[in-house]
Amino acid sequence: MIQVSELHFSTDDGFTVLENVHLHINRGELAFLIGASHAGKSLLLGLLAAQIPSQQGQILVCGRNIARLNKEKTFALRRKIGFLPQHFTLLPKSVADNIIFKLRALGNSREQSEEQALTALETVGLIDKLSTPATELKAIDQLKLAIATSICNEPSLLLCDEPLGGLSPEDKSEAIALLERLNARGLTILVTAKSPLPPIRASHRTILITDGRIKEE
Amino acid sequence: MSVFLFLLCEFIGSIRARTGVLLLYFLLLIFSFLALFSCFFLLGATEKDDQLLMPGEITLYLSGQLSVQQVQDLYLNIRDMQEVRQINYLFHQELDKGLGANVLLVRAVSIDMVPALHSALGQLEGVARVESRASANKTTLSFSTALRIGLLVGLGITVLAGLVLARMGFAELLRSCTNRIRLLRLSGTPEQTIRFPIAAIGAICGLIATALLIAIIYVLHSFAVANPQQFSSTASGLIDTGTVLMTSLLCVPLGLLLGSLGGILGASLTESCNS
Repeated sequence: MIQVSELHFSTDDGFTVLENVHLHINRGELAFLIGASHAGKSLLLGLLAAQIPSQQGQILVCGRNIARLNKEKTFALRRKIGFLPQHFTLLPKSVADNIIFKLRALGNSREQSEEQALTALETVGLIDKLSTPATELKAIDQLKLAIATSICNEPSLLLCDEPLGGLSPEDKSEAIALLERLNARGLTILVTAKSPLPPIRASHRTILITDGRIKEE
Repeated sequence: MSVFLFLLCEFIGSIRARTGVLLLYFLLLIFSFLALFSCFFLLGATEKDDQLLMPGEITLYLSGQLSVQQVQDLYLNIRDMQEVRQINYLFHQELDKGLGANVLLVRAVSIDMVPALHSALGQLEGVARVESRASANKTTLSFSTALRIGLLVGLGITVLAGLVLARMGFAELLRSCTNRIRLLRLSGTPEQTIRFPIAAIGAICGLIATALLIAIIYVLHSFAVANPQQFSSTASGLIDTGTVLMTSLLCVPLGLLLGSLGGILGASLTESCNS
């Protein structure tokens, strides 16, 4: 699903953020990319989500070489990827309308969007809070809504940038349980997080990133 | 509903008080620009020519063989007609052409009634000839150079001020839509899909300003047609239906263009809404 080789990325002033990154994530995997702040996790996810143009190296996502995609194909690829950025913001709308907004903007009809929104909310366990304003939700429910918004158009890959930040230990466990449930349905997921990570199943991979280098798998 | 209409409604729904006020000022500046532009066609006095007549006036040249009593009867008969607003007997000294005949000057209630009144008066016994004018002179006096320069300066100022206000208004609108735009980009919505509805809001402002101006021009036109004497020396273009129609038709693409320019300027600011 994800194949990264010899990836380098530097800032305009020459500071190297990612150096010779090699990464391979199989279809159907749930992987955790662990690293401290400024280790390059968010940048790597932004590159994988085709939100940031790459500089050097090869990135294959869903069988597409991101560096070679034109604008149109980049937009098409973004639709196949559910991307949850680090500081996601919910719209000042109801829970259901947050998801419906995205689906309608992607060209779905009202009825189709409502149907898909219900399915996504059922998956994350927010079906009983359809009409609640998104801003009034608890932190864990806001995360669930953000995940539901990311997966509502049935992407084949979900990239979550530090979704556990700011959550209580109980909420972190609940969030990981949700990600595991989604993964069990066949969704490939890559999650960035700071250590220590709450207990996860041994079958899930953890990848360490330090100063822009993948140190250990 | 298409994605365009959906996003247009979403962006319009995001307009808050400050954004609304700025866009309203933008709309009013487009209106001012179009109003100044219209002045070039609608203002100006009717050119004095060798005719005695003003629009809406009819001159009756009476037969020289009529007695004083017959002239008076004819005068009273015409005065009582519904279409007649005013009737005057012209003395020889008032006639530039030095005609010796009895001449009556009739003013119709409105310009629209002139043709019918012309025909009715022509059939009266004792009337030798009828002359009338239903419309303003085609040529209008050019107004003063100072006024012309003033109008041009006004046009320039309204365009510049309009674009500055459009930029401020759309920047404010984009600030309130940042989260929406961010979500659209993350989910793979093309940049053009985001920009078109924003540009369309500018075009809508232009169309509203144009519609407002055309409505006002037509209200003034109907007033001018009913009172041609009051307008013929200052805004003779307002009396002529053709000029009013032409001005209105010219204002539509101009208003749309200026509104769209403001909208495109606003849409170009979406670059600053980076995630």
